[in-house]
Amino acid sequence: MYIDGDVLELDIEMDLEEVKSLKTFVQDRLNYIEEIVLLHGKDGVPTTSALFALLFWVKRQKPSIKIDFFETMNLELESFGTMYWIAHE
Amino acid sequence: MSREKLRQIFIEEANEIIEKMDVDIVNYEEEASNKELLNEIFRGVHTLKGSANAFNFSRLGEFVHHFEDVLDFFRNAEAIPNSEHVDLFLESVSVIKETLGCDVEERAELPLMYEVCLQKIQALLVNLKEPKIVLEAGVNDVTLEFDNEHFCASHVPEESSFFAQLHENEALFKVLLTLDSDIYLRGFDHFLFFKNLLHVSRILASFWKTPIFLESEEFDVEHNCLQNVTLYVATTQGKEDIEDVFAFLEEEEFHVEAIALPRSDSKENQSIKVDEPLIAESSSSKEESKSIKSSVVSKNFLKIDAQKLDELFDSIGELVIAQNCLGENAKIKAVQDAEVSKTIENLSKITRLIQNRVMGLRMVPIRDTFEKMKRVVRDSSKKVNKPIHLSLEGEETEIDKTMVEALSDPLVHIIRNAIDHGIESSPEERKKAGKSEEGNVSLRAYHRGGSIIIEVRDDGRGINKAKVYQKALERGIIEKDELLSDAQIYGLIMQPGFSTADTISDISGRGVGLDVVRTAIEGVRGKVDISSQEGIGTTFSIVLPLTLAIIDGMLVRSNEKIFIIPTLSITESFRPLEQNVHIAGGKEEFVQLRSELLPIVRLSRVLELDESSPAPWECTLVCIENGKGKFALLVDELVGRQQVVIKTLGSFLSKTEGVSGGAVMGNGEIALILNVEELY
Repeated sequence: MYIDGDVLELDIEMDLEEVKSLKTFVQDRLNYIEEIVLLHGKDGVPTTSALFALLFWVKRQKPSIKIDFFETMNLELESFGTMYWIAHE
Repeated sequence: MSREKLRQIFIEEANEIIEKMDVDIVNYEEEASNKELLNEIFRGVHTLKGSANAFNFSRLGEFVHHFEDVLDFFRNAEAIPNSEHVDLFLESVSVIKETLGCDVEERAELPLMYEVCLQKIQALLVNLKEPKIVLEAGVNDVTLEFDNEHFCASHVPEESSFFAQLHENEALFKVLLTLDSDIYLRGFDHFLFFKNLLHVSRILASFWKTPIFLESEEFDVEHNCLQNVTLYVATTQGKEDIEDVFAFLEEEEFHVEAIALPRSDSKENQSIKVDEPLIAESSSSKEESKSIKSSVVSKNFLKIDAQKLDELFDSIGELVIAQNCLGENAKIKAVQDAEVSKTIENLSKITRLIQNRVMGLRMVPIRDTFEKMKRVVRDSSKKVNKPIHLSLEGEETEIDKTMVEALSDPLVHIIRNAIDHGIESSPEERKKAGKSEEGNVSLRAYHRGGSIIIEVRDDGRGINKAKVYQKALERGIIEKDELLSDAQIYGLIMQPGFSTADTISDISGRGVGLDVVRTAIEGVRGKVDISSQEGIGTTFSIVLPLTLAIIDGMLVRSNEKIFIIPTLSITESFRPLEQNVHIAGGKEEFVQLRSELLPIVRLSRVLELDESSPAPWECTLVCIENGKGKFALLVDELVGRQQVVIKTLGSFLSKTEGVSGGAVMGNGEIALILNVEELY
């Protein structure tokens, strides 16, 4: 996790404990975080789905925040294929 | 990076997006079922909206926001936009373009059509959405889900498209995971199963339903809210092997299903098995996607400031001159050392290589310019109510970037002129003439000699020579009884103020057009040729030089002066035998070259250097091909071949007939570059 000005960079491989800390971190700084970037290397895969749940929650709290994969609503991963996000009925 | 610099980048990108939208919309009309192309247009608009708002281009942001809504409706609906809708889309693009201009220049006024077009968009949206608004809410629209405009729905492939990804002996399986909220506490995670699945299969894709967050509910990271995930996996193993991965889960938390290849003849069969999320949005298959006519194909590009490129180009020009100076230096020439000679030779080769590569950087395919003409044809065709078919050829032909910019407006005018005046007034008139009801306009680009030719051809009524001649007489452009060739008569229509149109229309016929075309093309050292056949059609040929800066030239000597002939115009050179030279009428000289008889053009006479006439068999003849054909240019001798940097002669000398520019030679002297089109 790295914050550069108003851009928060996250490692896609962070685990559940790290995501719990992340929630606290983001919650306190939601006002000035404008963008969240998900970093992953060629073979990088997510460790916990809680990370994505948290990102959706953040987006809900602050709709103007820019989260890179929300632009297309899909995320291409080398070994996990493409993740597509579908809205609920 | 400063905000101003970012703003500049946004403006540049916005212009690119707008230009691309124009082309994509016209292409989309031809292939209205192509959702991928519509998505491409939508993505452009979406990006534009986000950036416009970020840079406080609020009026642009507002307009684009509504336009995006309309596009989004068609993306998610089965309805296909009709011709009127496409009209509105194109009108919107024009308004977007103008609004961007207003916002960039911080002008208070808005484009004339801003409000009108916005109202049309809003009205269309109401009409489209009203009957189905209740049904549509909450389908696959993440924007609605989150009650904000910052989402765009995912592009979801059809289940059948995964079959194309299967390797030999692999089968396709669908895995549905509905994990309980306590899975993290139980030590599980969606991705734990993903990792385990990799032991028995390849994961092709997964579909995740976005979580729902209630306002009152406190979000708990350890509480799973992603309760519906569908995976598609490819495996050579059986269903049981996949089910084993989920052995520790409750039975109701997972479901594995083998997917059979759908019958290709039944679209219904395909959709029966497709899971709910997949039904929400359809997409083209891999094969279909090949035919997508998006104007921009994703490539690995590096954006460079054009000015930096021009500076690099100028430096290369200087390098070429310096290299020539070195090669011509008498002191260096006097050094009888093989190593020095070899080094100079190497330097020459490398210079030429660098020069060619840098030249290549400036070259762009003419495709984008041609694609833009589709909109011009569409608009013009609708305006004058004539059905027109446009065909394109040679779009890959590359031309200098500077010329692309100079070419656009003249092309627009010639095309409009062809549609307005060239093509017959009505389909009935065409039928009477034995032609198809639809008028044909073709755009073609190709190389000829050292030039690039861009042809605009129509199959209309052709130019009425007598009418043009008469009009020119009336306007005092020509004298009575003046004898003119066909080409000269056609050329009259490019005289300032000349128009044979009976009525002045909205798109051309104002009499100010074709002379502007000629001026613009001549500005880039090109020319426009017109050929026509009454009742058959007219062809405008724009002849452009390959590049504007450096040419490969043949140095020739005439009357102790050095001249440069562009090498690409030269087919061969030779010293004729006396018996092969013929004189007609005591004045005109010809030379027989194999089976051809070529006119001899004395350079010293054309340029009025000298009145003496040495015998052709004592001189060298350079065989040159120009637009009118071949001729033999008589010079004293060939000096050598050299890359030369073209220097303009300035306005005073620019009109000198037979000369197109100058160049600095290796010895520091200036040599004139011959304009072969004007020599004969």
